[in-house]
Amino acid sequence: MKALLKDTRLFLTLLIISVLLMFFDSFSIFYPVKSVIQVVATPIQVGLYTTNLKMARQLEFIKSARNASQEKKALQSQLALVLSENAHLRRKLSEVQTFVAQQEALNPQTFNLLPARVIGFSRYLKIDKGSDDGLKINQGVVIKDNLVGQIKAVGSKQSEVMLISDPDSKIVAIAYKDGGKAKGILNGQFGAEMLLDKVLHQEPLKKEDLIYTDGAEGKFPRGLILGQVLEIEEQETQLFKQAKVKPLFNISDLDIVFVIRD
Amino acid sequence: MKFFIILLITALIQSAFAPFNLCLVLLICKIYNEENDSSLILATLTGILLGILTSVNIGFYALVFLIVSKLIQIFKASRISSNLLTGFLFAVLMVLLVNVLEQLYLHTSINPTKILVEGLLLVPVYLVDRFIFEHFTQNTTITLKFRS
Repeated sequence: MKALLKDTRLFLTLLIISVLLMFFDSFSIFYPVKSVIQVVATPIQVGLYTTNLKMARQLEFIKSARNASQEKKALQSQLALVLSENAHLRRKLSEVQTFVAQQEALNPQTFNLLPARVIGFSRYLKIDKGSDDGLKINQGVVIKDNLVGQIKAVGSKQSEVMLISDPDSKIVAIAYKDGGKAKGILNGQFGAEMLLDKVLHQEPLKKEDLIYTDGAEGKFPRGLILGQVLEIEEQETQLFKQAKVKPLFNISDLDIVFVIRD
Repeated sequence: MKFFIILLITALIQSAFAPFNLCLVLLICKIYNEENDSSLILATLTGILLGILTSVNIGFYALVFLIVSKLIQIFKASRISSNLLTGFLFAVLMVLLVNVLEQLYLHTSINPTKILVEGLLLVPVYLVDRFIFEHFTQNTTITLKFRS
């Protein structure tokens, strides 16, 4: 009860004043007084509002910068993933194209070809297939209808291929012309070029002629491309003429090769 | 006087950009912490000031704040006010009451987020005000007891 009566007179006075203020202000009686006070207060309110806007924009900028940074990181990791997938798909596509091209070049019904990936190259080409996959020494290795070389050494999972440009490589070769054919022995030399030797003078041979395997040795099928004639060295005093031959493929471009199993 | 200046600045901020009734929060905490004769006058003046700055009927907020102040005084005199939780709940009830009165007279919709924020602001403002009151305010009235 005491609490209720405390300050009752003051409370009632203020209550009446507030009600009167409400009543008179509803008729805009205090409009001039309010205008004067607002003239002073409005610039302060504008200043506070502008400051608040600037601060909000700064915070928004910081927030958006943070979001942008996070988005960038996410996008970078996604991009790395996509690039990796792209590279993988490109490799697969290249393999498929190689398989298709190989099938078009050498009939798979005629040749039993085993695809092998090139995994290294020093003097000999290393491939990722071995005796576990049925490979044997001296089997031919081709890419499309080009002879790459023959298997020199066989491991269980890997094999080494002696290229046709290897100094130890000697293949009976033939070049066809309308006027006849030229037969010789293709010797590998250090470097990319090979030498077609033991070609008779009367046998027709010209620059840019294609050289093929003869197949007489029984090691390789007949008709595989060995290279193209670059230059002919012919001397009347010599018994035979020679020709420099370059392969039609580039070793560094080899990714997948095919081993002729039979 | 110092507190009136703080209320003035709060009213300016509230009228400029703050969407919450900061003056009400400040007033409730002040009256709850430190009750004296000028509490009712302070509440009325704050209401008038807020009415001028927000271009609302100047008597509306004066009346509302006066009623809220009186209710807080009555509540403080009761036994349940010693519990902080009941005090907090009562303060939130006052915030809700003001929002309802605003809806009835000013035709503004009741925003639950606004009520929640104002209710949550009561706690830190009360604690800060209590800290200032206990450590920086001198209590000038000293009552001596004589034993006869």
